[in-house]
This record gives sequence, C-alpha cells and structure tokens, in this order.
Amino acid sequence: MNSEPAGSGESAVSATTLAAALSANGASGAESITGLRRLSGGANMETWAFDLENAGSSRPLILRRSPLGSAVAEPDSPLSQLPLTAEAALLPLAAEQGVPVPSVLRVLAPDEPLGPGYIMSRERGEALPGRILADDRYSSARRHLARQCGETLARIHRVSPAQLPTEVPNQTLQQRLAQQQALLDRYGNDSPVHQLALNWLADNAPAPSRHCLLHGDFRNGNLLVDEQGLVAVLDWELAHCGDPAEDLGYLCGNVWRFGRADKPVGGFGEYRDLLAGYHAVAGWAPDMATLRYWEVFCALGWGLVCLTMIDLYRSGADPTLERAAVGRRVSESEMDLLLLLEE
Amino acid sequence: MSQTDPTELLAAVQAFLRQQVLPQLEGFDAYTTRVAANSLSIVSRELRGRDAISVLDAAAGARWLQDGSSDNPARAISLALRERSLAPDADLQAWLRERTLRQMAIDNPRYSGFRLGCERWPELAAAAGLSAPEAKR
Repeated sequence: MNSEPAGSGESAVSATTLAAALSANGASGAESITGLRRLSGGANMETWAFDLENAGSSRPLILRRSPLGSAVAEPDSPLSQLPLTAEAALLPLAAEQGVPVPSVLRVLAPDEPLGPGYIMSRERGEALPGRILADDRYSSARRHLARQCGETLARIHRVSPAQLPTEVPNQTLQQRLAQQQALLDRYGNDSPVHQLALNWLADNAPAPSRHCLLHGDFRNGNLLVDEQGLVAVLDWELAHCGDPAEDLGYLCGNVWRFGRADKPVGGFGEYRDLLAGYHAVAGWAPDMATLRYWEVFCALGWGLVCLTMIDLYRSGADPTLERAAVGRRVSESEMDLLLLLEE
Repeated sequence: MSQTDPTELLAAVQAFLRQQVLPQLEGFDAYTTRVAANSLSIVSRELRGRDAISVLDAAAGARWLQDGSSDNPARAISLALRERSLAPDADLQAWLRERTLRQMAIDNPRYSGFRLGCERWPELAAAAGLSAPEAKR
C-alpha cells in the first residue's frame, strides 16, 4: 500500500511510541497496540489508525499528528490549518453542544515525542462520498442527511466564542475578501472569472449579522455516515469564526456534490431539508439569497485552493503528482462561478 | 512512415498505465496511477483544444484591451476588471462562458458543471462543438 516512511528518529510512529504516549494517560501497561497503519497522505499531516488491545477487548483509535517543521501553508493560505492542539480542544466544545464527534483521549503537546497531535476514538461509518451517494445501504441515510446536517450545524454554531482556542481565526468578511484578492494577485491574476466573482462578492456582501464558530469544511467527505445517517463530524482543521450561513452554503457547493449537481446539499439532499433542520435547532435560518452568496464564496475558495496547490507544487514544497493534478481543477471553480453568477 | 507523434505516445502510455500497471496495484498507488493516466488524458485533450482558446482570447484582447494586444489577454482583462475600468457586458460574459466551456472540455469533461454549462448555454457549446458525456449513474 503506502510505502512512505513512517517518520524518523524519536518521532517515528510505532507501537512503542504510541504505547508510551498512551501510558502518560494512566494506561496500566497491560495494553498492546495492533493494526497500526497510516490512513492518509499530505506533507504536513499524518493520520494513523490503530487498535488498543487490553485483556481481550479492543479499542479502535486514531492518531493525528503534524511532524514539527513540516508546515507548508502560510497563515493567509486557504490551506492554513489550526494547530492540532487547538483542533483537539474544539471537539469537546462541539460535543457539549450535542455535535457527534470522536472523543479525544489524549492531546500530544508539541514537545512530546509524537506531538503535536492528538489521539481520538475511531468511529464506525463511511466517509467516502462516492459510496454515501451511490450505495443502496445508505439510501435511508441519504433521505435524512440534509436535515441532520442542518441540525448539527446549528449546534456547532452554538459553541460560545469565548471558549474558543485563541488560534481559531476570527476575521471580518471584508478582511477575507481582501485576503482573496491578495491571493489572486499573488498567483498572477490569470482568471477573469475569479476576478469577476470576487468583485461580485465585494458588491453583494450580506450585512454582518451573527458571528460564531464555523466548522469551515463541513461537506460530504468529512462526514461519517452509517445506515441511519450522520455518525460523526470530522476534519476540524479549517474551523474559524464567521457568518453561520457560510457553513450551510459551503456544504451546498457544487464541487462537494460529487457529480450529483441535482441534489444541492452535498449531492444527497435538498435545500429545504437543510434549512428546516437548521431552523428546528437554531430558531432561525438564513434565506436562499444568503446561502447562494456563500456558494459563490465556496466556489471561489475552491479555485484559490487549486491555485495554492499549483503554487505548492511549483515551489517544491509539495512536489507530488496529486498537487500538480489538482491544479487542473481551477476550471471547475470557474464553471461553477459562471453558472452561479448568472442566476 | 513518420515517427510516433505526441498524441500517439500519450495514448500508448495511458494504455500501459491503465491496462498493465493499474491491475497490479491497490490503495494509494492505484489511486495515484489513475491520477497519472488521467493527467495524460488532459494533455491529449489540451493538444487538440488549446489553439481554439488562444484564438478566442486574442479576439477578446483586441476588443476589450486599450492597446488591443497582450501576451496574456485573459490576465490583462482580469486586471482591468480588478481596477473596475472594464464593465462585464453580455459579450464579455459570453466570451468567458465559451472559454470556460472549452477549458472544462480539456480539464475534466466529466465534471457536473460542464454538463450544466452545456445545458445552460447550448448555442455556445454547439458552436464550439462541445458536448458533455452522459453522466454515470
């Protein structure tokens, strides 16, 4: 499978280093670690699955870590991620509001052998969009998922901003639009469609209303689903503060419908169910015009992610085929923007 | 008999990757090999389609740029839009639509947005000789 080296020196992920990390948690020493395997690539993020065995019982766990010195994204990059210690702090805050999330077992500080990172429960379910959208076993889940997403987003948005780790970005929309313009300038202003879209976003910005914690990457692919629907919300590394409608519009971005453009919510559901679920928990819901505004924002954001990936490839920071290939998806964002801006 | 031309080489490497290499791989390596084969498909389509985009852009530059010429008309028009010295009228929108449809036909004709674009602007798609493949279900 994946032939990448596991790391080097003291920071290598192994059954021994994991057992040491968990023993600081008060483990008895009778446990053993089995089934260790790396799940995903990425130059600055490692995700590992393993099982903690103890007296015949087995606990499925996940380690997320970012090896020191391998950060590739600058703070104003669309790929910039929260430090893992801050990400780990968000999960219990979301859980308190009733958001289904993995439970965090252990936070690994930057000065620990495997840190910075954290160890959490490995929940059962499917996250691959292709399967969630096509498999018969998820047909009932698909009927309920849009409403469940609305309810869940409303719960995420109830997290008190005062409790958030200081690293969670908190910018006004105007600041973020200025940042997007700076990115278009940095990457050479090659797309009139992107510029047209950014002009439109500046001219049509909704009045600032509520401002709260957003998941920031709440979409098909980051949601763990079983036959009944949503099981857990994953991948919190793009969390930030902003207009709650952003999270709803993002979930509806065409790029995250995975080919099912006819199902606006993640390729599985309808706007009305998403908004009804949100309203049932929050007591209000954004209107369609605001939702569409954030769909435009999402489509431009995808374009900027693609441009940033090309830049990572060209600079040599991440010289993988995957990065080079994603650079060819810029036109998806341009197509979606032209379709959205005509409506 | 002439030497192998670039499109033939690309087609041969694609067939090699998909038919001989891919069946022996799984997981991440299989995924990356699919990305590799698909990247070569993009290059093949680009060799056929890029001249039409250059012609389209040159016409746009002649029409909307002050001096009428630029190495990169799309960038120059983008900068004019940024400065708001150029207003996007219906013709400019039509240029962007046709240009994006053509680029999409090169980059990823299976993208749902390409099919939607061909449906939304059928006259542009037809004039450009573009059509979206049937959606897989």
